[in-house]
Amino acid sequence: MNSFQSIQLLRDNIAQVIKGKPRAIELAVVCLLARGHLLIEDVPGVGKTTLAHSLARSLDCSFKRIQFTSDLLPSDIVGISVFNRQKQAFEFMPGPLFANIVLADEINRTTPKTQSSLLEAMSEAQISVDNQTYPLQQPFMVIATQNPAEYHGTFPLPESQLDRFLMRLCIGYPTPEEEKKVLDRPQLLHPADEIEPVLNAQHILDLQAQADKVKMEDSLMDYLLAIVLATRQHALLSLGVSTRGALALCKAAKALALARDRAYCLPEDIKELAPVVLSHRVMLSRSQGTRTKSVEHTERVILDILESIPVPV
Amino acid sequence: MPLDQAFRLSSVLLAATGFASLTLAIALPLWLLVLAASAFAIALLRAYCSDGLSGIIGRLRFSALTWNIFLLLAFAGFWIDLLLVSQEILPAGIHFLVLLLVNKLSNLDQRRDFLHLYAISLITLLASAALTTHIWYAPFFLIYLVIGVWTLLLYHLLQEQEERAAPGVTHQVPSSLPLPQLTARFFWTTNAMAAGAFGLTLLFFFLIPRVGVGFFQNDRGEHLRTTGFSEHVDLGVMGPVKQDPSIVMRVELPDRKAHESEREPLYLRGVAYNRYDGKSWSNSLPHRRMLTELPEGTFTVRTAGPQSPAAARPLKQDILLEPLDTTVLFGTPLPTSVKGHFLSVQSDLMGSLYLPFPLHTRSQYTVYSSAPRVTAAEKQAAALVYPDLILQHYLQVPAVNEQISELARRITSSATSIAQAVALVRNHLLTQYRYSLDVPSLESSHPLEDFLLTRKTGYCEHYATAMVVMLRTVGVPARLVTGFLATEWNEFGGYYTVRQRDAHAWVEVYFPQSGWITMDPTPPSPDAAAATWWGPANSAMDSMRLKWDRLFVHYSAHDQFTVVQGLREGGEVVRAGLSETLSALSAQGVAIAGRMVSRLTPSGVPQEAIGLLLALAAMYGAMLILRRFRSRTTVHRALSTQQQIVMRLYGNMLQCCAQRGMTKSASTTSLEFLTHIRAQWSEAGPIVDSLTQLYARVRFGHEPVTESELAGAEAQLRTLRLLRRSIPDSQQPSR
Repeated sequence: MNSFQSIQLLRDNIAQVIKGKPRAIELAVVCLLARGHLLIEDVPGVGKTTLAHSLARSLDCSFKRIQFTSDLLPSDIVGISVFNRQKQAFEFMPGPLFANIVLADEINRTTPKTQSSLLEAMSEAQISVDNQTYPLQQPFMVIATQNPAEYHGTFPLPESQLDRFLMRLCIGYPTPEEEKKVLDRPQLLHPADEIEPVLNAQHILDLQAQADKVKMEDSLMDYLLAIVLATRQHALLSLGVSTRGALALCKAAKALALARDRAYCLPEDIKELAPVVLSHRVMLSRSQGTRTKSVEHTERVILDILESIPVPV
Repeated sequence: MPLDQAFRLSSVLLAATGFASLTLAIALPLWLLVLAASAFAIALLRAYCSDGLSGIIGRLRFSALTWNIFLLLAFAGFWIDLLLVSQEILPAGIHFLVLLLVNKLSNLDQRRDFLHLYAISLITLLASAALTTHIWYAPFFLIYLVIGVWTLLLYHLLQEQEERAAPGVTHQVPSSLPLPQLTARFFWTTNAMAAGAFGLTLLFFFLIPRVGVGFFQNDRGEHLRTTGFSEHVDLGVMGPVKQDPSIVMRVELPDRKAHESEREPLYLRGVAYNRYDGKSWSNSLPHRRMLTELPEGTFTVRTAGPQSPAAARPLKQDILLEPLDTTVLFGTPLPTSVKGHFLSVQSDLMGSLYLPFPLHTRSQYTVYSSAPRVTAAEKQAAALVYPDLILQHYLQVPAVNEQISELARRITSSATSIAQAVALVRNHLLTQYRYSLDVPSLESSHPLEDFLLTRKTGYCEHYATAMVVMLRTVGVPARLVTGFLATEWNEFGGYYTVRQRDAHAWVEVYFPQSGWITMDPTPPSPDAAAATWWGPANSAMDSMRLKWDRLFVHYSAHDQFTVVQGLREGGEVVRAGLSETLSALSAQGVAIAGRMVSRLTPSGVPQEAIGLLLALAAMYGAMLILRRFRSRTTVHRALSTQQQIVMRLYGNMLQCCAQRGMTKSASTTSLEFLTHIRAQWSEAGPIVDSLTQLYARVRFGHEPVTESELAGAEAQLRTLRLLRRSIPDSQQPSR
């Protein structure tokens, strides 16, 4: 079974649960292959949690779900040191973050303090508690969901935190036909619980290593950097894409090329991924409307930039 | 009418107006006329029927490569035309210009193409202006102006529109904003604007000073007041002007080297007087006669009296005269001819030159004069025989104090010759009297007696008058001359600056053989050589002002014509030489080719066919070279040959699609283009698909490609070319 077939298997497996959203599934898989973390932002009830859940279920590795609430504390997710009377010492009790796939549900409902406790885990794949550093298991992926429609009692993610997500994904409503398939299904079990794991942790690690080996031509790098530079110089953006963002786009493009059974990147890979990879990393200038519209606005700006930059021939 | 359509229409009309004026100005060859007319027709049709016919007309389009070859041929043709056919730059250039116009008309795609079209049409209009002076140029010019205003406004509006719809701002404004429609009112407004612009231009046209004077410059007020050149000159009038530094004229001596003329004072003769009544000088020979104008612009003075054998070579002076209130023309003694743009020049019997009326502009003229010298014989002569006319007019002496004639006789008593007597009188005045401007002579009733006998101080007029009177009392004919003594040499411009304060009076003494000899009894003014530290700056400034005057203010149509003529003649010489060599070479080539052809061809084949074949072969060769050159320049250096081949194939595919009306924009990726093709041109879909796959694999994957794959790709490209020529099915190819 070569890498493309494994990826295809994984996608098909998830597709059993998530009907009519091949793009969302592909992007989620690409995110996994690129060692990235995924932020799913959409209205309630379109399958955010189900997507995350079914991705986790399709892999034979540990999965934890944290429901973020306003009273959640950092120790609730990273773990806590407890005094062991028998050993007369403090003992670290790992929190739910010690898993391969972590679903951070409704991440914007918790306080910034708790949100930022994810930072180290997400960027360095390790956790430091009481001067002790604990490495996390590999593969490690955080899938966070948030609801953009509600604002009361939420804490928008800070830019630094947003920058650590590889992609921000919107799922969107399914078409009526697809929706009918969802309704038509027997409701005995949660659909995500029906599926069986198809890949194990080692498979994923191999695939990630393969994605790193995908070739990116010199002119494509220039193209990518031209896009990044354009976001930094664009009149409507007060904050452009960081170097981490450029790196993320590069990694994601390689993973997408692998997912499409290619050993080399194409301009398409970059152009297609740029909106999901870059749009949450930029900030609109103050004058450009409220935050409600910002997702659409930033995506429009990124698309405009893509239209203005010549593709290498 | 939609904005875009109106813009295209008015652009083509603008070019058409320029071209029409050109056709009326110069006879163009018929084929060129037909070519240009059909290009205009197609462009107009293309602009007018933007929807329905565009598909059909769009198919009349040639590829960019064809146009490039066309342009190259046109350029080569220009040289052939210049060197062999019309053998002149103007017609050859205009033929080339028309070909350029045809090219631009057929390729109006981008904004800059329109700008090029405007530039070309402006040049056509200018060319026809240079070629004709006929009245019909006026309506064409007016139409051009009106359409030009429309076009530029429309251009601006369209650009504004596009800028608003530019990327980055689109989500602010709904990008599907309908193009505004143009109403008749727009055209009325722009026409009114054009009329206004034309009116303003006319105003400028008439108001700009082009003859060296500001238009509102007053004729009378601007004259410099001079003294000493009227019919009567009272003794002592020159005193007040001796302080006035305003510039009267500038004198250049073009024949003399700068170092020669430097510091040597120059006498500029104005008017001579022969009658002194004790208080003022006047002319008893006021009769003036016109000078003959031979050749044009040159007025020759008929020298009265004997031609001095010892005269020096004529001295040429270029004089730039400020507007003065006198009609006198100045020149060094004694002028023989005057050259200038004057209606007529008069001269009186004493050699003074006059214009019919005072000049009211600064004007330039040239004087040739030859200064007589005393012949050796006359220097020795103890007595001279004077003609009656001289005796009658130049020995008049007023009823002067007896002491003066006594003084004269005493001074000259030791003289052995006339010349020596004259020198003695002059020496006496030079040494025994003191130069001073502080003389209240106007009130005095006997100014000469005051000067000679009592006060013994005075200035030039006194000295000169004294010398004339003393010489006359001893029987030597003499006269008083007023003018300027130029001493101020401008080393920056290399000319003399003559100011009011240089006004001077001196003496001319008559010798029957030599003529009138200039003598100056006045000692140099003690404060004359007061050099100031700002003097050099002043003279540099003055020289700059003079150059400005020469090169800009007085740059007349005549000067322009001279320059153009000179350029044209120079160019003609070069062109004639080149074309001679070329025609000799080509004649040889033709002869050799003819011999070869006649030897090689069977007798039945006409030679024209061979020539045609050769020309076609040459064109094909040029095309191949061009194509090789193009692919070499556009392709990235680091790519392998196989990659280059694949990229060329892909490029050809894109070209093919573009000819079908489907162009790939710069920001479109190849796969996006593929989906576009699949949607728009379904039968080409599989071919484009496989070519795109190959391209992507080789270009970005750097994967090797087999020969058979390349051959397959070539075959597919050929199929695509065939497909392109087939009639499009019901769906209209969109852009």
